[in-house]
Parts: sequence; structure tokens; C-alpha cells
Amino acid sequence: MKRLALWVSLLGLAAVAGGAAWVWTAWSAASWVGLSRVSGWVAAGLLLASLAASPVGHGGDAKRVKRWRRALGVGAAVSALVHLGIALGGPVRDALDALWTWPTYRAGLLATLILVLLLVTSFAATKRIKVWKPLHRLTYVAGALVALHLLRLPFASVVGLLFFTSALIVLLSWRLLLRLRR
Amino acid sequence: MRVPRQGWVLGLAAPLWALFGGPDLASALFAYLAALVVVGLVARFRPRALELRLPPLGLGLVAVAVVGPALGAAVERAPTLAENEGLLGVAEHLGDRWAMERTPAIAPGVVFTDRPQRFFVHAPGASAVSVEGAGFDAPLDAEALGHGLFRVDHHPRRDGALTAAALTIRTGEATARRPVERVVPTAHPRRLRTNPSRTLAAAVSEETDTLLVVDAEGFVASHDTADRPIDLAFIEGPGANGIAVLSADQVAMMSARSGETQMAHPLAHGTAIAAGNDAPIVPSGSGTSLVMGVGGEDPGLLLLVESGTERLADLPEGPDEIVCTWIACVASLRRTASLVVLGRERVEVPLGRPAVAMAAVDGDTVLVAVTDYSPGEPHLGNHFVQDQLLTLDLRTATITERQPTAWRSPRQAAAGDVDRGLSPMAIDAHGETLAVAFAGSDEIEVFRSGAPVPAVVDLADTPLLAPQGVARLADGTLLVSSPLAGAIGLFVRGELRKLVQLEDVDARTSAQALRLRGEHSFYEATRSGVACQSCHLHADTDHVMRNIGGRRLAPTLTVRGVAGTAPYLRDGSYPRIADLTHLSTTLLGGWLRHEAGRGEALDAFVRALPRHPPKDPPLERVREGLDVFVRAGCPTCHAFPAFTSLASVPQGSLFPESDTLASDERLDVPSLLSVGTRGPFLADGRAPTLRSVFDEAGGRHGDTESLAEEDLDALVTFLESL
Repeated sequence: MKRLALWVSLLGLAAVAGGAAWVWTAWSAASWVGLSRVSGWVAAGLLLASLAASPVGHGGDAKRVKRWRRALGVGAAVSALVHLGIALGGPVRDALDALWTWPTYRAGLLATLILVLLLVTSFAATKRIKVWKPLHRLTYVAGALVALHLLRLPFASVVGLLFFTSALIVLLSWRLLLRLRR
Repeated sequence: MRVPRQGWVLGLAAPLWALFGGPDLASALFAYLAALVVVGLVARFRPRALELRLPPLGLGLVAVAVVGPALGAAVERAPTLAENEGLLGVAEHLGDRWAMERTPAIAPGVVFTDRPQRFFVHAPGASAVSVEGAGFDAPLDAEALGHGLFRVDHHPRRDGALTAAALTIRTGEATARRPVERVVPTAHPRRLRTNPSRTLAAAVSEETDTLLVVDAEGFVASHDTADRPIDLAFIEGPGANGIAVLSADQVAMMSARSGETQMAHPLAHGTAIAAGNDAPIVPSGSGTSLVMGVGGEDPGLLLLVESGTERLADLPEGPDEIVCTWIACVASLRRTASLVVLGRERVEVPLGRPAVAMAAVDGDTVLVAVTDYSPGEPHLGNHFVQDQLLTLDLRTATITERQPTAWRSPRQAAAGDVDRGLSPMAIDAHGETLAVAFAGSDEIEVFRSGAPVPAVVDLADTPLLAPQGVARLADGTLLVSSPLAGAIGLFVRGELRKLVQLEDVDARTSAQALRLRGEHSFYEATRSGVACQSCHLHADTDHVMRNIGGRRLAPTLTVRGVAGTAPYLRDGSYPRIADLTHLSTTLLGGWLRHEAGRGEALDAFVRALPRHPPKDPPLERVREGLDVFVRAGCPTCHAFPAFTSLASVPQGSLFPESDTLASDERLDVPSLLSVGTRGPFLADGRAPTLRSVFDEAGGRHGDTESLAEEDLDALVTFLESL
């Protein structure tokens, strides 16, 4: 599983580098948007999958569940970075201020920052910090921020937004239900 | 009961955010992270400090005491937080987006029962599409344009008028019902024209295909006309009582009294008609001497003759209005904000703002109503409007006098208010008397030679609000037409004596009544003297660059065809049309009269405005253009079928070199439906024509740099057909 996480990370970083290399090329705006859209949905999908790992694997092999959750979470964070890199290279290349001043972009940026924070605290050395669980519960906040990101995004679909938000609510409710039963 | 770590973090984060955070999610998140750091450090160095144990009740009380104030702060900040996080108007925005994305989708989502319209259906994968509606004689077959896009042309006169608020889209065996807004317009008599002896006056209602003729007694006749009558002129000559009615596709001579059509000639794109009055451009012995303005591909002035029409002059566009005297004919042009005086010579008179109304005072003078006069550089004041009457000397083709009309009366509520003489909409000059209809302040002002102040006929207490026509008959009876009332009123010595209705007012539906209230708000001026109408002439654009909000010059937007494209304004800052009232009540000082529910009414009016008919090039050319449109990546932002993604984009991504726009300034993605009738184009009006959009955008407005000239021509043709 570690190997999988490593490969996902490496591929993600390679994509970031590739995206950066395209920055000054004359690649079409529509292509940038298309790539941005795909990478964003990959990140959002991996985030949902990592959130689903615990409730879906409940009652099974806990270690195996944790491994999957971690690998998917790492993948989500790396994909979010890739997505950010592509957005910087394409749609918001000449409007960097908008990343912070526009609510939709700010929400996406904050979600990425959370995922990066969780990424760097996902390794053995950092797992010993005393507030690891409250910190990693921010994945749900990241999920909510992604929903906010999709809400007004120029190129997102309403169906995608509704699916993502519904799935997030179901997973959070499921997790709370399991917690209350304990 | 032991307090969990999560409890400590939340218990610390909540007051931190309440005390130091701002009304946005980022500061809430940072408060949470700060609390995490503090709790983490305490857990590392003083772990026993977190070992607090409380009974459940005590724990609950502590939680309420700590989190309660933070929740209070959250509730207090909620409106600002919602605004900061872009949550205002989300329901409307998502509703409009859903309507566009739920294929098969149709746009625009408004169906009129009185006029031809063009719809676009996005049905990916479908090979054939037809549209059915209650009241239609048969399903309307759509033309396939390619890329899942279909085009449907509907004419209620030909196909039957819709009777329900839904359309059914059939794609092969599948059907999908889509809700639409059904608009049944009310009668709208506008310009009033008199016969030469001033014993009769008449007006047409484009919406109900009606010609109404009145005399000093109040009523002569109401006649049905051809489709969408636009303008009329009485035919000259002793004892003549014929009327020429210019309609959407013909000009017809009708008897004023019987309504009998004596002659009709097909004529497309007519915009205005006037009696020639022996003007030099009218050849002697031409018969009717009726001068008509036409738009379309070959705009100009035409003369109506027995065999049809003769061309009198070329113009850059179809004129809004024509006035003729024996010295010259004057045509008012909107796009160039000018008058063209066609006498012995042709002279163009720039105004800076397009003429709203004109009238000949005598043979050598024409009065022109405008919202400002700035023939050189535009006035740069924020929302600058100065209603005035210009005197045009036809002999010299120059503006010789300017008379501002706005003034303040004892009704003034705040210093600087103006509440009279706002938005001059119609002028009538007869002998020594001049009558002007003001839609902004609901009044007629009658100026008599030698009188120091005008006599005011206040219409606020009558149904004749927002008047758009005025005429004086020979016996002194004053006639006033009001589209809102659907009526012409007869005034004798300032008193309303009779109201001639074109339709049964009691039969109006609540939706029609709401739209009419909104129409009144559109024309009514604010206390600053500015009305929606001041810039958006009859809900359209005046094609002028203006200082909007004290920031920069921007082209006036059209208000037509914006239904279902939330958010609104060029920066997408207004989530609902109803929110536009905010501009009037704050920056512009509020309307002259208080009225509840203006936002809802204005929304209903604007949503029900018909858009301009597009051009109709050959279908093959349209398909070629659509191919180019897709190849250039245009649907990424101008998505089918409304040709907008209903989103905003940072201007830096489109105009990185702009020094008048901030890089993170929002630019609303406008719908391209009827785009060919607008202009100038792009956010700062840098592109005077549709074709120049692709030269001025530096490759940022779609991937058009690699397109060949013929591709760009095809693209423009396609855009003009939308």
C-alpha cells in the first residue's frame, strides 16, 4: 500500500511538473479547463473514497482499512495539488488575486491546504502529534469546502455538485451513526 | 465524564473565532488550527491539564457557556458570511444552471404568445428533435445544427400560441417536459400621431396587433393590423384620413375610420415611418410621400410608392424615428448616437447619446429629447444623466439650444432631489404650444409661448403612468398614451375627461399586473433623476460607453433576453433581477414614490422582455459557424443551449493587459443569444463589432488565433443567427 501511495504521489508530482511546463505554451484555454476539470474531479473522488473507507470497512480488518484510507487520502492530496497546479497554469494564470478574493477559488485553495496539511501529517514521524485525530477530522471540512468550491465554479456541473454534496452528507452521517453506536 | 481532545479544540476555536475572526470560513478554519496548536502543545507539555472530568450536566453547561457566545456571533455574522462566501442567490443560480444542464434543455425559457421566437435545444446524441406545446397546431420540428444542438423557430400566428407553461421536447422515442414562462402581453399603445388637421390621433400596440384611432370625443375605432405594428403615419392631403401602418413584415395603408386595408406592400426590418411633408429628399409627384426607415442587411430610408418602395438614402442602421419637414428629414440613429439630417445636403449631427424622441416644431426646427448631450468626449460622471431638449436648426443642421428638463418641486425629500421633468419620452408641438410627456415623473408639461413656467398635468393619480405618447388636437384636447394602462386618455384643461382602453383591464391576470408594475418601476425615475430607461432605452441598450459605479467606462447592457441567466450585471454581483432595486434605492437615491414589492415586479417585467429577432443566414453557413464555435472552444464558457455557463470568470484570464480592470474583477459570462444586436463588445467595449472581438481579445477569447478568415466569417454568421 505504501508503494501505491508513493506511485500516486510521484505521478501527481510529475503531472504538476508537466502542468508547469505548459504554463507558457500556447495550449488552448479549453484544454486547460478540461484538464483542470478532470484533475479536480479525480481529487474530489479520491477524497470521497478516503472518507468512505472507514464506514465501508467497519467491522473488517482495521489495519487494512487504515491502509486504504491513507493511500486514498494521500492520492486526494496529491491530486488536489495537481489540480491547483493546472489551475495556476491555465484558468487563473493571470488572475492570481482571485485565488483568495473569490469565494469559490478560496474554498478550493483552503481545501487543498487542509489536504496538504493532512498529507504531511500522515507519515509515521508526525503521527505522534497529540491532536492527530482532531486534525484529520478536517477531511470533512475539506469536503465541505470542495462543495462550496463547486457551488459557483464556472466549469462544474450541478449534477456533480449534488452528487458530491449528497455523498459527503451520507458519509458524515454514517460515521456519526457508527460513533454513536459505539 | 472526560472532555475529549476534540472538545478542547472546538471549545477553544469557537471563542477564538468569535473574538478575533472575520465573517468568513477561512478565519474560522484558522481559529480551529490555532486551537489545535494550543491543545497539541498543552497535551505535549502539560497533559494533565487536559484530564478534566465533569459530570454530563456540568460538561453540557460548560459547552454552552463556551460555544454559546460563538454561536451567537455566528448567527450575527451569518448574512455577511453568506455574502463573503458567495452564498447569496445560490438557489436561483443553481436553478438556472440545472435548467441548462438537464438535457434535453431548451433556451430561452420564455415563450411569447404574440411574436416569432427562436429557441435552441441541447440534446446530445439525439438525431432529431421536435418541440410540442399545448395550443400548438402540430409539433415543431427542430433543425439539427450539429454537436447536439438544435434550432426551433416558432411563430404563434403560424403554429398556434402556447396555452400552458411547459414545453415537451421529443428526442426519438423519449420525451421530456420542461417548464417555461408563458408571456401573454397586454396592449401597449406608444407613440401618438395626429392627422394634418389635428382632428384625429392614433397609436399602435405592437403586442396586440391593434391600431387605435381617437378624436376629441374620445373614440373613433380600434382596428386589427398585420403582425407587430411598429409605427404609423397619417397620410397627407386635404380631407385625408388614411393611415400608413408599418408592421414587422409589411407596410399597409388603412382607412382611419373603417380599418379597411387599401394597399399593402411587403417590407422586412421596418423601424420607423413618417409623412414626407414635401422634404427635399422626396421626389415630387411620388404619390404617398411616406418615408420609411429599414434595418437589416441594407439599412436606409425608403419611399413608399405605388409599385412598392424606392430607396432614398443609405444609413448605417435602421433609424429609431423619422421626422420630416419641407426643409429636411431627420433620422435618429441609436448605435452612432446621432441624427442624420437629409435636406439639400446630408449632415450627420453627433449627440453623444441617442435621441429618445423627436418632433418638428415648425418647418425649420426639430426638438430632440436626449438623456445627455456630449458630442465630443462622453461625460464621465458616474451614471451621468441630464435629461434635456435640444433644438435642431434644420437650415444649418446644428444644435442651437439646449433646455434641461429636470427640476425640483416642493415634493423634494432630500437636498438635490429632482422630481419633475424626468425622462422625456414624447414631444408634440402645435402652434404656440409644446407638450412633453415625461415617463420618469409621470406627467405632461405644457409649455406655452410667453409663459414663464410650464403647466403640469400630473398623471400619478390616473392610470396613465409612464406616458409614451402625447398629442394636442386642434380644439385643445390633450391626448396621452400609456402602455401601462393600455389606454389613451383625453384631457381638457388638465382634467382627465375620458379613458379609451384597448383591452379589458379587469381581465388582466395577476402575472400581467405584476409585470406592468415592474414596467412602471423601469420607467419611473429615481430622485437623482436617473431611471433604468435613461440608459436602457426601452429595456434595450443605447450602445453608449458609460461610467458605471465610478470605476470605468463600460458599454450599456441590454436588458432583453436575460431571464434564466443568474447572476446579473457585468460583474455577476446581483444574484437576482430583483436585487437591481438595491442600485436604485441606494446609489440613485430611491424612486420618487414608495412602493412595496418593486423587486418582484421588476423581476417579472425584465424576465418577460422579448429579445430581438436574430438574422437568418443559410442553414449550411450556420452549421459551418457552429463547427468553428466548437473548434475554438467557445462552449467551454458559452455553453449550450443558452450560450452561457452562468458563471463569472476573473477578468485577468481574459484581459491580462487591461489597466482599467483589476485582475480579480468578476466578469459575468453573458449569453450570446441576440448578441448580434448588441455592441460595443467585450467588458470594456474595446470591440466595436462582433468580428473585431476576435482581433481585440489577444487569443484569450476562445482559441481563435489559428482560425482562417473564412472560419471567422462563418463564426460571426453563426453568432448573428443566435
